[in-house]
Amino acid sequence: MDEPRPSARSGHRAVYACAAAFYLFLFVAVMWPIYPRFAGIEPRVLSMPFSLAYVVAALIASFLVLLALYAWERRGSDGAVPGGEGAQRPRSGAGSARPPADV
Amino acid sequence: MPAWVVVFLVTIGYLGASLAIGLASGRRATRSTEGYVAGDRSLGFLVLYFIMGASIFSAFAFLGGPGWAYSRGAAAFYILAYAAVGLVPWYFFGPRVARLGRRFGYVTQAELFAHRFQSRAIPAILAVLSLLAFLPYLMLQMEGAGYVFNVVTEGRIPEWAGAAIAYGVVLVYVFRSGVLGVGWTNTFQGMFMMALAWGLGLYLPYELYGGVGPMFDAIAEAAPDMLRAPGLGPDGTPWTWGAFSSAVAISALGFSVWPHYFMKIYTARDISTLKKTVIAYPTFAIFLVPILFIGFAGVVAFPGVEPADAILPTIVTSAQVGLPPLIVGLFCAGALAASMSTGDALLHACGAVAVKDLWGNVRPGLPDAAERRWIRILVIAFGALAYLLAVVARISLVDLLLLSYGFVAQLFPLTVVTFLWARATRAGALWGLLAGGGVTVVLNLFPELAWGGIHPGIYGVAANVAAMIIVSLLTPRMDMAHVRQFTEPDLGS
Repeated sequence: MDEPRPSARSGHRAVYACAAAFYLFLFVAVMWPIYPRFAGIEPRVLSMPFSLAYVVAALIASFLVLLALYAWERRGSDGAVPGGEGAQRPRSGAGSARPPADV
Repeated sequence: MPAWVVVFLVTIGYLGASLAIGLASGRRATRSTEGYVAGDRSLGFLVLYFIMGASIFSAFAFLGGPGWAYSRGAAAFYILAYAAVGLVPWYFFGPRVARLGRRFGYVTQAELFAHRFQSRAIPAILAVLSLLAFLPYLMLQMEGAGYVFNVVTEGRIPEWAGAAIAYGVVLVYVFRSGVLGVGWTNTFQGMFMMALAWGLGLYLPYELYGGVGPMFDAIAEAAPDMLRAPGLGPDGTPWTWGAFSSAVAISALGFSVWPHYFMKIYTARDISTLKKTVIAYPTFAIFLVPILFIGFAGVVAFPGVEPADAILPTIVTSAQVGLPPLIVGLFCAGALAASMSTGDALLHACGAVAVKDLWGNVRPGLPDAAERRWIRILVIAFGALAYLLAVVARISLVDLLLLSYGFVAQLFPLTVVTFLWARATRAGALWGLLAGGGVTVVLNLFPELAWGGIHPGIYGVAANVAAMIIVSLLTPRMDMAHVRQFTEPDLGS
């Protein structure tokens, strides 16, 4: 397989860094100190109290961002997910991975 | 025909269907350890999606989730909060784990760490910690199954017999079919649970209040603190943000590294299947919303139910709601499905971890056929042990469960450094685990030392990271050619 050009590789890294930063933000957003700002009952969303609608929105955002990342990966690799070979046959047993005795 | 007989027959019908699916699905696997534990790395999106969804949503989610919503209100939202991010790390490190698993033949989580850190001590420690974490979790599922049987037969079948019936079925299909039995029964059970959760979750607020909006209006008037995060603590007073946030954090950190979920990465047919499973996971997690609606439906209409976990069966079997016995039977089967779909994955992992990670490091070189045979034998042995502890000894699980969550979260830093920090050494990883586990144990024993009501596992993770970094920097680097296989896997493949 051809090596990706350095500029393409840095572009890929930037996208993954943005995705990781988004999920780090999402992780913090469902805890103190961000969630308390959205922890009330009003306004209602789809009949739910806002405190519940907020975490449901976080769940949906998590789904949509990963979906977008996956779509971007597929488009960037002409239909093949990067690293998505998946067809290698496994070696039988874990013998090659057996560690030496230690500690 | 008496109503309880109809309910019982529906429940038995569900068990029969689970058994048939579980037994039939195992025929396609090879008679090897890899076939039994990793399904010959052949699972497609549908089965993997339901394994991850149904394994994670256990008896706790089906019975405990409504119980939390009923007694503690918005505190229950922490389950949704950690589900939003919990499986995401798999998207980033899962493909590396899967590729390395194919290349080196791993079928368990600890084999990866053993290889990366060239250690036999680490997998042996992880095996012991995993088994200690699995047992209370498994016991909880068995207690849930026994409780459901007892309720559906109006006390005619005692809890010990109910647990024996449900887990007798589980043991048969796990023993016979391994992970394929777990996978296909979880697919059946997961569909069942989702249909019931959405059906009951929308029907009960409508029947009792005239809709979801009027239900929340009634709660907002009667007990507004229940709808404001972070909800209520176990004593009924407002919960602290420290306790809520640390419950989210410790659950999110531990979520992706529970050993019995982690080893399912190896079962994926390809990387694309694995990524699609992670992407679609929130669509399964969102089924917790109607589950919580069921608990909220009881707040005003059924005050004073004790214990709170009984709110779901109380509502479903009440004359006020008036559900036909067939629907009540389907609900009971759904609750059993929640228990069994988690319990089967745990039982399967107990056998694999004990043989591959514990015995395999004490006495390496067991032939593949013997390995498979011992894994199956230990599935039975752990099932019997958990049953005895759960039903006969009746020991308290709450403290053990808290401890096990704290332990499991200690695997998250280890997973991160395995792939991202080449300087991490064997001694650093080992001392990190010991420091994290030690702090977690001490703070569980002396909770007054844990400031701000924060979960002891969070302090454990902090100690783990600090010890891992300091000891790694003080010890010689590992062979970089070896380490790059993990930190830069494409270079080594």
